Amino acid sequence: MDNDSDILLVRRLKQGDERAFNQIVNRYQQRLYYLALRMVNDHEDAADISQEAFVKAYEGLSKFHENSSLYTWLYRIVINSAINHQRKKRLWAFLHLEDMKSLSGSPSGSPDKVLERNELADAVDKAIQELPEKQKAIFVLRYYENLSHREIAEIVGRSVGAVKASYFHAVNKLRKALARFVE
Amino acid sequence: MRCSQARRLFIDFCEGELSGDLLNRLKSHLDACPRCRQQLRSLQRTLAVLREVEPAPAPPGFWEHYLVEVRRKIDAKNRSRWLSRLVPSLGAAAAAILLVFLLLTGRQKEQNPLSVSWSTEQESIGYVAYLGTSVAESVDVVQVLGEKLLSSDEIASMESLYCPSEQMTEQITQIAEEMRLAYEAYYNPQKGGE
Ligand SMILES: [Zn+2]
Repeated sequence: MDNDSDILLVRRLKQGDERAFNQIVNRYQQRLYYLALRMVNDHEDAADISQEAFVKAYEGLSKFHENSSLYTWLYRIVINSAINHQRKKRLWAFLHLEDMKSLSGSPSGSPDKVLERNELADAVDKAIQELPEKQKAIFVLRYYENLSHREIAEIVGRSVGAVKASYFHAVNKLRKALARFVE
Repeated sequence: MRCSQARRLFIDFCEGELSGDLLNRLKSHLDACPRCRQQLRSLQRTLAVLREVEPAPAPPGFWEHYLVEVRRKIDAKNRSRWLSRLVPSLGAAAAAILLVFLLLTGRQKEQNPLSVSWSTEQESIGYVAYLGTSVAESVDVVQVLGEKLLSSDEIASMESLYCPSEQMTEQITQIAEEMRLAYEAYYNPQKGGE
């Protein structure tokens, strides 16, 4: 039963089978969470964004068309929420003249978590966080999620050419940001 | 092939997407150009490093409760629809004022409850418009405001208002009406009198 295709699960859910929704959550929870985590670099926010994406999917199911795939739809919800979240956070930090460093994710969480993750990991997180939001999304979807340029174009609402160009710029920025670790 | 052309092909090259003539031309450029070789190497190492660093694992117990948490959020949203139902009868402005009121009475302020730093008229109107678009979204705003203006206990009492009893809904409707009058008096003092 766990092998039902996404489309079948969506059909079952539309017919009122709530277990199908649980299966969708189980199938995609890790991917959505880690996608959000790469985008916002904060556990609590990533948990919230990914869970809210399922809530939105649940509520918006009638708007889902079977000619697009479930995961690109879910990814799009997460990416849009993550981008909005970062903008809101930036605006809020700006209004309150807060330390902008918290946005680029200086080591957060419990002290032992900070100890576990080394300097390189922090530099990677920071470098990714400093990319412009859409560029970051494109990089994460391509590099970590292995999506095709066309799928990414669909998710972020840009042309395939623009996606390729953004990815190129993102990788070059990361190369420069991480130069001292790789040269 | 020029260096700039060669460098534009690096990513496709790393992803194994180059073939035929283009691949051969890139290879012969690399053979002849130490600077491009060096840059390609640094790109490959960057990509390797990015792959190597795993995201921090989620805390223990997180995945076990994930689905329950999603379900809880769906239920909470369904419950918060009571407020959406309230909006058409009160108007978005009154609903917004209600929220502002709820925020501020929690603080037991001596001064006029509307005279906090962000409640200049424009900001209030902007805030009202924002809340007017979607009450569900306003929950986010309230939480953000809450983090800045209220203690955690006060936030908790705010949150409990999102799933109130029927009796509470009635009380809130009444408070909202009072607030609407107070709001009008505040912004049109000559009309409202002393
Ligand atoms: Zn060259």
